Amino acid sequence: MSDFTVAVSEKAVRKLFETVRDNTHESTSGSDDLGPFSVSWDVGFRLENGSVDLQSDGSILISELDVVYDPLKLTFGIDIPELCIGGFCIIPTPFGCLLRAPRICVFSADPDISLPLDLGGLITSEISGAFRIKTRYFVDPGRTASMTNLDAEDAGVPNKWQFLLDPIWLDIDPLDIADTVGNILDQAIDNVVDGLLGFLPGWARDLIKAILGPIVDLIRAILDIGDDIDEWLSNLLGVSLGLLDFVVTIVADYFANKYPIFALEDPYPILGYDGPLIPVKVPLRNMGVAVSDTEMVLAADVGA
Amino acid sequence: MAFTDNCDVFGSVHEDGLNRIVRHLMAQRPSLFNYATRMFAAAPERLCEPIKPHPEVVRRGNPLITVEDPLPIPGTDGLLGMDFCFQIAELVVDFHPGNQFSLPPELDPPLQWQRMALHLRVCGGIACPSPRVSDRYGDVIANLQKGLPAGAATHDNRPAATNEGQRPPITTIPSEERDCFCLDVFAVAHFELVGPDDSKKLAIRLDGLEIVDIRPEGLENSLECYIATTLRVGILPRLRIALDTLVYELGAFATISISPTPISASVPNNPAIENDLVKVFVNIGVA
Amino acid sequence: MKARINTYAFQQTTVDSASLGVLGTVAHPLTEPGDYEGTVFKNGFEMARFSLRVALDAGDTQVDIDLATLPSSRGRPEPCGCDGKGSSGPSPALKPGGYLVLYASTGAGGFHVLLDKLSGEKVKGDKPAAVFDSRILKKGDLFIASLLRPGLYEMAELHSGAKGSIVVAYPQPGGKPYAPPPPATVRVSDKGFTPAKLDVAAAQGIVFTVESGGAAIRISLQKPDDGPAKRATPRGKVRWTNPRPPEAPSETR
Repeated sequence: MSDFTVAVSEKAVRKLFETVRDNTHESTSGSDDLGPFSVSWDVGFRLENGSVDLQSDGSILISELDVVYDPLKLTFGIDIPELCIGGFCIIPTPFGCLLRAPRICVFSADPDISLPLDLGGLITSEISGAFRIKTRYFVDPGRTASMTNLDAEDAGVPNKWQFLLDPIWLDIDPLDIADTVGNILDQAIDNVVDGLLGFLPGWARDLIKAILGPIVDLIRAILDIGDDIDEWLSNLLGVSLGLLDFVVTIVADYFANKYPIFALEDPYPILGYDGPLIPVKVPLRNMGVAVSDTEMVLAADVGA
Repeated sequence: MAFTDNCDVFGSVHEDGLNRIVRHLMAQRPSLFNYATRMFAAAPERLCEPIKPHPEVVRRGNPLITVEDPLPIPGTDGLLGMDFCFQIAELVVDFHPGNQFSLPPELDPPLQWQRMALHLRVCGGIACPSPRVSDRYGDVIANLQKGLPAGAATHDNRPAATNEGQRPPITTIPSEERDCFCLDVFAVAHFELVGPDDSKKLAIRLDGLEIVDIRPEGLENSLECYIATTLRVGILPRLRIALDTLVYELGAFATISISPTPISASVPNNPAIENDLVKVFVNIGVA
Repeated sequence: MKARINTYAFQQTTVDSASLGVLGTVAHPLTEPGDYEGTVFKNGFEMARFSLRVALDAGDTQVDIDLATLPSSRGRPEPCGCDGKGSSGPSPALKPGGYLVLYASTGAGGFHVLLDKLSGEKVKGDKPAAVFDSRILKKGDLFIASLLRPGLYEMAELHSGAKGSIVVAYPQPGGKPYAPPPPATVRVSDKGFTPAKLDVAAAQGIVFTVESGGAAIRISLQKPDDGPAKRATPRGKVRWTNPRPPEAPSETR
């Protein structure tokens, strides 16, 4: 029988998990050239919800953990094709065009149209995963060799027993894109083009728009959006930009290395300072953790 | 059956672990277990039992001894006293069922359900002056009494205040010798959770105390009363452990509120002493 | 990000074969082999020269000369064999029967060209023979116009006084990208314009074929069609920085 035993119910484990979850947020930025258009991104995410289920095999199952992408700022660089008049055949012959009108370009954008989109909070995905608890004895890098245990506690760098969620597997579901995203994209494109051509008279704008096609459709064609904007954006973010990989990697690293689900000091303080009297701290040895389908049990012995 | 079948968090300490904790406590808070006059504080080697403090106690300048006033000598109008020391040299805890030591008959063995037994080795000693020195101080007292004007004694028979308005401090009669003794003291106690709901602490409540082999019985009873009162009033209140400490400070780590699980048919005792363990049952709430 | 707008294309409302701009092109057939030299005038002032060769062994059936981008001929001892591309090199060669195409890709226009034959038939001694003045179109010449601005235009042949009308329809942004229909054809003869009334779409080419010599064609806007009432500018959450508007009438780069 261990000297010290603490058992934490599934409900309490969930509370511990919520602390880890609420402290997980990360961001990244980058850019990529995807052919007819380029995209730069500033993406971050936070975690919400999620259910915790202790398993009889000693693992902890976390399901339906929402990944909320916020911020999610994309900037597309779109190369609008040149708009030219002329170029048609004046004297066609069975052998080809004998005389062709010169081609005169009346509109082009250089270098690209810049289309910013702010989709923060509108896109989510879901993570599920199974974890094992791993125990780690953590020596704070801020602790110097000359510090006693009490010096370290006073300096806020005591040694700790840490318990981390080490992922066994992680699944991330495809992106769930709010209905408003499609409208935002359409509106953004319209705004860009109207602004770009804004100083031209209305008939000239309409002519350019007519020749280029409904500009929304044109940009959508360039971006290869197709009919299903959800699928496109999901594919863009998830596959092309590797957003899903980014999330999975961060979550796995956060849970497994950066943020313990639980930790306690070693030596463990039984009594705190009493005026000038030093705290009473006892060393904990043989720390172990076991998970069943109802509770997580942390056991340790008091050292000599 | 799971530990948390009837609560959110369960904590337990085995008596072996508690006894190791007591040894750490005695080394890191020696002043809680050693009481003496200033003479012994200045010369701890003269104590009846040597103190083995943790190095941090010395490094941080913590006292080894709680300094007490000298033992007053009656008839000296509070002017004179004797140096003494009082030490709890050893403390062993035994949870139900008692299997570490046997209780004396006066404490109704075997150890009762939900009770713990304590075995203390209490040592003490008085720095006894030689007869020659005592006689000399006696002469001083006699001379002092003669020099007092009639009716000058105050209502409590202490000497009148000095011109500065302060009573003179008690003076100890020096002595090179001290007579030490040790007593085996047994006690029966239980745990209670005391304090406000959001900061409960585990407190030890004495149920009974017995000193072995002191005669006459009245002397034994008096000494038992003195030691029990010292424990109840002076020492045990300073040994209360926070409930959160018993569950690895879960409340502080996860910023949740913790509170004792209410007593019920499922949890008839909280805390509970059984199977050589003290157990606490805790519920959690949103902080 | 900037937009390059050829603002002259959007601002020009008169297209004149005798004063070429971005919306008008003249194509003149050359049948006689020989060396030719063209002098380019802008608003009556000589601006540039170019050379051209018509030869049996040439492969091209047309040579395009961009009058707006030819290097200035001032101080230049030799005409530029520029072929409208702005760099010196051998003269472009044209197959007999091929077309010399004169156009301006940018700018306010006002160009006309005098073409002289330097060698071959019809050249006597050292004196070049003037063979073509773009201000006076000959039989077989073509004048191509592309009208952008919607509205009612008058077409006039300045020597005969013949007139006609052209209606350019207002463009309708729709579900598919708009492509101008194939060019319309108008014959210019002693009888005037055939047809005399024309309905075209914006940016649709109009090819005037000159069937009798001595023509100068001018198309001018009579009544613009600026489309439906002002639309509310959609407002969205996305911020966008306007490009710096150009100073009219100059080209935006």
